[in-house]
Amino acid sequence: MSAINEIASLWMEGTMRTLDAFRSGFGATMDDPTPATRSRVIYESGLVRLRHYEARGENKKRVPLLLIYSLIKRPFILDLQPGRSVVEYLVKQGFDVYLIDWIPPRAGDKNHGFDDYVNVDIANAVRAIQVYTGIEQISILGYCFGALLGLIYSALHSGNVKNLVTLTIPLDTSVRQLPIEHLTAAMTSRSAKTIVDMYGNAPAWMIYSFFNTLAPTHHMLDKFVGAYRTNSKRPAYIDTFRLFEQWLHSDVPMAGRIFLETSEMWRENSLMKGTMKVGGKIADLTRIAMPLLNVIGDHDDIVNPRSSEPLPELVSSDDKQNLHYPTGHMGAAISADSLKRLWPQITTWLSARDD
Amino acid sequence: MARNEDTARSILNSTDSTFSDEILKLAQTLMPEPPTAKVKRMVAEIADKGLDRQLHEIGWKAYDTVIGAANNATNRVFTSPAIGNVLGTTIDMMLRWQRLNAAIAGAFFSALWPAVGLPSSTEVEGLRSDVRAMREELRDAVAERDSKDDFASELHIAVRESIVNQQAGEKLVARTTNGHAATEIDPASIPVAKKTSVYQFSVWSGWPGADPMENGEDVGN
Repeated sequence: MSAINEIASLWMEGTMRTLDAFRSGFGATMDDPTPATRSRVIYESGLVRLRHYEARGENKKRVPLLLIYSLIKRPFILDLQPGRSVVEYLVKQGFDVYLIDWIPPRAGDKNHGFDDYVNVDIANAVRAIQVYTGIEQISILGYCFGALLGLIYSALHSGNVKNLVTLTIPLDTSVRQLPIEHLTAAMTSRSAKTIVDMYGNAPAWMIYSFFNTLAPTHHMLDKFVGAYRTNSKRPAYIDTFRLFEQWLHSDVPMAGRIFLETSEMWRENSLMKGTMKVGGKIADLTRIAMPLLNVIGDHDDIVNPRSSEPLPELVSSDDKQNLHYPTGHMGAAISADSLKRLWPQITTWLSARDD
Repeated sequence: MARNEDTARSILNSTDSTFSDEILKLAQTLMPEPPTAKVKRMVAEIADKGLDRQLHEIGWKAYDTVIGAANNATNRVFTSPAIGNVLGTTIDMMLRWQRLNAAIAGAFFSALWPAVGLPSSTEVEGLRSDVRAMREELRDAVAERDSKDDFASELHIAVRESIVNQQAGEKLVARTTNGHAATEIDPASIPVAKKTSVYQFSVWSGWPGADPMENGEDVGN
């Protein structure tokens, strides 16, 4: 009976959390949990807030590492809790880590598109790092949609990027296997335009609902049962579960213009085809000549591994590779296994290209 | 159990029986033991025989099977092209109706609410958004005030100068990267910063021990 009581209690807590998020809004900077790793905001402009996490240990790396996270959720998943933090791991390995902490777009930011995000916000952040460190070329590590932004930046500003790591990048949008791919394809350009006309930005609740619709059983029941079962084996797990839940409810709106542009890019598969224009220029992936590590989660049900796989074929780098790892979309960031086995491979790859 | 038997006996002994008493007598004859007690006794017997662990595992296996089947069914629904088409049309129609309704309601109530002294939902939403933005700005301002770091403002100036220089058309030479030959970049090909919004610098103060407001402990949405 205690199992049912505990699961019911977790379910009730989760339901209240969801209802509260719908009532009062989803992600906001001020609602982030206490970070695991200390940081300092060194630059802020437009919709970018740049955090610096200072390298620790004796084996400090020379090249700064810029993390670019997705636009639709808060990035604290990368620094969830001590011992379960990608950022903490990287700084312990001697990397000076910089994180783009996207400022959620407000009503007045609805015209923020790829051009503003890539050529203004990321470009300014990179420039700030260059001035701050005195080092001209940096490494970029992008996650999911952040990987897409990092890739486009690297194509348009290749001289500033020494190494590029893309993690679970949604690239080939012609792949139609996963439910998310079919659901995205079902949305017409007219629907996307209606959303922007009505709301200005794509609302956070809509983004949250979209992702939850994909796995209703999981979100309504199974994740709570799973939390109970895992917690019975690892008693501290419930804290991680609560933080993860907080992150799941941390959706932020997507600026209207980039929502429309992304929707168009998805339909046309334009980045993959080499026809996507950003700021009037083609985001030509063949201009990417720096070393590239493309990390793919084999069990990813948000970004199809097949969608990420073609990337090395599209760039002109001599030093390029796909790194497959048996993990899911978020498991790459928070699973204990990924932190033990995947991230050491990424840091080894970066360290070998640090000179 | 004893109390139940006593009660039953007293009812059986009663001479002044009613219809409900007769029903109760019949039920007790057919089911001499209450169901919960029976279940408890059965579970205890299973536990004594060491079968509870097996039962537990079978229960979770059954649960996993049901959840797996439900997930498969959901995936099949979403990956069906026919359902995708219906879904796409439905989403489109719903959004258009919602837009029309919002426009009609807006036109009607925008005149009505002020007349009775109430704000419209758009106004409330706007105010909520403003309050949220102000709280974010306050947070930044507090952090900035607390910052004693002169380097931040120096960096701000340096970055701004760098952007201004670039806008002036200064030639930039691409850096040699990892053995690749350096190429000259046409400044016109580099998109320049188009915004000169206020640059702010602050020191993260969300560390334990800082103002609890920074940690969102006493601040709702």
